[in-house]
Amino acid sequence: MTLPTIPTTGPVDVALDLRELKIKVENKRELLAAWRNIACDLIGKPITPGQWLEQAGPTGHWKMLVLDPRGVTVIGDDTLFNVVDLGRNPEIRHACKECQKESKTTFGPFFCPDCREQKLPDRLCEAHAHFLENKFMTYCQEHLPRCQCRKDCPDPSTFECDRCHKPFAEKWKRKHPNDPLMLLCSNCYAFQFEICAECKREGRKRLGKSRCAFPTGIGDERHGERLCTLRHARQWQIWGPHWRGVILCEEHYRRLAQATPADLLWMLVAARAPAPFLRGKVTDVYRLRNIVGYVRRQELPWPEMERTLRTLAIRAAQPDVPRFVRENIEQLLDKIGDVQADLPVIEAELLARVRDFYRSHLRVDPATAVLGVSVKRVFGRKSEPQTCRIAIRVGRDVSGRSMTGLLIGKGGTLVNQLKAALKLQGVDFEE
Amino acid sequence: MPPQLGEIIEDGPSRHRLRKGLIMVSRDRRREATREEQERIAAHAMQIFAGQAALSGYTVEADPAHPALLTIVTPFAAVHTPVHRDIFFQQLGQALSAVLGAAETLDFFPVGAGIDPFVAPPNGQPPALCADVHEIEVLDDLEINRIYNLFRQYLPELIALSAHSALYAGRLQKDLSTRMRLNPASFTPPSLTLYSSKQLDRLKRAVRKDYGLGDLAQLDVNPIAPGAIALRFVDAQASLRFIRAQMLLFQAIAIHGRALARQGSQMPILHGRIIGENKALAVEAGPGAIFRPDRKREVKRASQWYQDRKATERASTALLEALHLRTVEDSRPILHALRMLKADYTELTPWLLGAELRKRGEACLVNYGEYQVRLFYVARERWPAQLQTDLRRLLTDPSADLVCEYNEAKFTRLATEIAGEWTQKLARREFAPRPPSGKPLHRSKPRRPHNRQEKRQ
Repeated sequence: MTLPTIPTTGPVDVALDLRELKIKVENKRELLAAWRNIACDLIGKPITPGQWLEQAGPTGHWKMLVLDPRGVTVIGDDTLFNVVDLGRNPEIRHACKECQKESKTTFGPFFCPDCREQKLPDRLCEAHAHFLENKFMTYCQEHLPRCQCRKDCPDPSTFECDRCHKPFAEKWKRKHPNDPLMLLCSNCYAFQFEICAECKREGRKRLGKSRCAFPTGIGDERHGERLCTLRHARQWQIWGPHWRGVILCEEHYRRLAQATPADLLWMLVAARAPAPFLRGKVTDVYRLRNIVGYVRRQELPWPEMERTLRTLAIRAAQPDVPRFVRENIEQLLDKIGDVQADLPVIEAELLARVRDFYRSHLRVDPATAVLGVSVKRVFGRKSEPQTCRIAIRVGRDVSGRSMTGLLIGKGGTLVNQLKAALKLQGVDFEE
Repeated sequence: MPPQLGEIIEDGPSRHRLRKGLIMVSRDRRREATREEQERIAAHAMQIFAGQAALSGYTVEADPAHPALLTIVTPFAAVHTPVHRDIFFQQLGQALSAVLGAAETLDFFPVGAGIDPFVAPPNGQPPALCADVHEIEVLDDLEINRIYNLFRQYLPELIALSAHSALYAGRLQKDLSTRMRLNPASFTPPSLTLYSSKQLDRLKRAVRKDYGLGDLAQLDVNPIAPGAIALRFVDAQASLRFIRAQMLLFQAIAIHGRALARQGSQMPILHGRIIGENKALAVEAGPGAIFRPDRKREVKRASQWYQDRKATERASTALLEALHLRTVEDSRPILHALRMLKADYTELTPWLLGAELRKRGEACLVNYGEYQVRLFYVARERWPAQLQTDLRRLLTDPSADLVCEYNEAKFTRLATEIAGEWTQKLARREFAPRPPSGKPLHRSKPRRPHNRQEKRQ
């Protein structure tokens, strides 16, 4: 087989690369000017196909790829060159905004998304572009995200957590143990990979996905011990039996009854509702008071509850406390003021009506049988007719026996009549 | 007197490397080569290469992924004139003849197709997926960015053109490119607005995070091949003339991208979902696929491109439209890049004639995928023997092209008309684009006052 032959005389085909030349080359005229400097260096140089010729001089650095020498072995005075491709720096239509401030014009291949959104000059060169380690997005110095470890952290962020997608400073960086490309903040790392503290003591290796949420008394700081969900995490089921409650360690769960009302109320108001419709339950003062009373096995007086809430409002002003906690406490304080003003009147009225009821249905003296009435829960909105659940404090007869059975009636007939007559949601009896 | 400059092309072609894939099938078409046979053929072919001065720099590689696959790797070669391309393809033809000779000593023959049309691999083994990987030399990151984005934009059209695996294991498949359908290492390239080789780790991490792809080299357009952009989506072709026509098209797109990079233009980005959808259509129907436009895309300038018209279009016609499209207002079309390559109409005929005929509504062939389908229906019983003869002829003769021969014989008058039209187009001088003024290109005109109050102001 015979190959077609290239004419051995004629111009040498080359690709010129003038990107590092100091002289500006944007068109043929400028190339001819630059060529005068380059051409003198070429004379006498041997050439072969595929060879890169290069030279660094006072005018900068240039390179030339010999594509086809057409039989020329050494460059002479009379050698003619055909430029097949002219490598040159791009025309700068998008200049770096930071370089422009320094009166320099550099091509800016990157951009800052925040500047672009605000319709400001947004282009950045490689030297002025700030990157987050695991995010292919650039920022200018001004818009580089701050570390999100706390609200007012001044440190610039260096990476974005691949789990919570928040930017963090270098000191919070942890690498995923099985995937070195995945970066986590220390919180997410602990959540995903730290071992349950109790299991560790027992010599087991079970992941501690839960943390004890018992407050320490400073801001929103919690005990925070890592606990395995399977064995060592205990739940205080404040949302009912079917929802995940507040997680506590064994010790705090056991001593919940001895906890101060402040700690209990903080856990209640700072708990994130597992479903949106449950959010309103945190700001129900009667419900909160009942839960605290039930856990401590003694009723929490309204004035003490108000005092506690005021203390908690000061604690909620700390920067690390989420905003919804502050809002919840503010709502509770508003409500508790109203309750304390209205409740004595309502309770006195209810007491009179309950006594009237029993006077007309029983032969006993209602003043000895019904010692007092307290409102346990109020249902319905303030603008609508409200109903409530009450607790009746029951006295004893002359022989010292409880009068609860008498007040309930045979098969609950009396209490049902009382609920219907007074339009109550429920009636409890206390001795 | 110092050396003088003659012709100057500002944005021209770069060097080209081809990794030509071949499947080794026994001459009785009953089995594929084993690992041992593959290595023996490769070694024998390398011995033949060593004896031929023209093939210095050529190598034959035994594919580690499959025992039936061999790859002929050419050196980076200059392809900037028809003469240089003639030499490149003569040498490639020589290399293919050498491999053919080496294979025939062991009673095998090389098949240039995306997948083996004759035999299925034994149970449990994956099929041999054979590609022609074109590598285009690039100088810098900016070039990579623009060329990559251009190939990404025209990926469905180029896949449609390259589809050549409609027959597999003696049966006609439902896809024209069965190789692309079965290929587990084929990913639609995401758009790269920011590319920097210094920030490659970040890019890899971002692609991995956003697209679940850990290796950028598995993209259909691989931007991280050393010193080049690698096009991995091309099914192995049978005809050297067709490969030449493809190479010209790829180089022209690269020249266009290079020009965009040097004029500092940003190109508008097509949505990945649309490219993915059209790619799937192209894999299924090849040049006959009807592409869908992105109806939500903001059109900045009216053009004849189907994405700007927001109308569905046939793949082969979409490719013709792309040749005439100015990607940005002050850029020249890809057609101009073909002129920079000094492309002759006859070099482009293998796909251009078919595409033009299809545009005119004729029942022609556009690529070798369609040729396979036609052969299957026309020669029902004897197609394997016919295909074997055709493949042998095509791989060794750089001037043979069965698609072209079929179209020219069937549509003689139209073929002459198209040849005249395209010869003129390729010879015509493109007017230089408007020089950039430094002001924004899409400057809106001041609005005329609508009412009296505005006029007074």
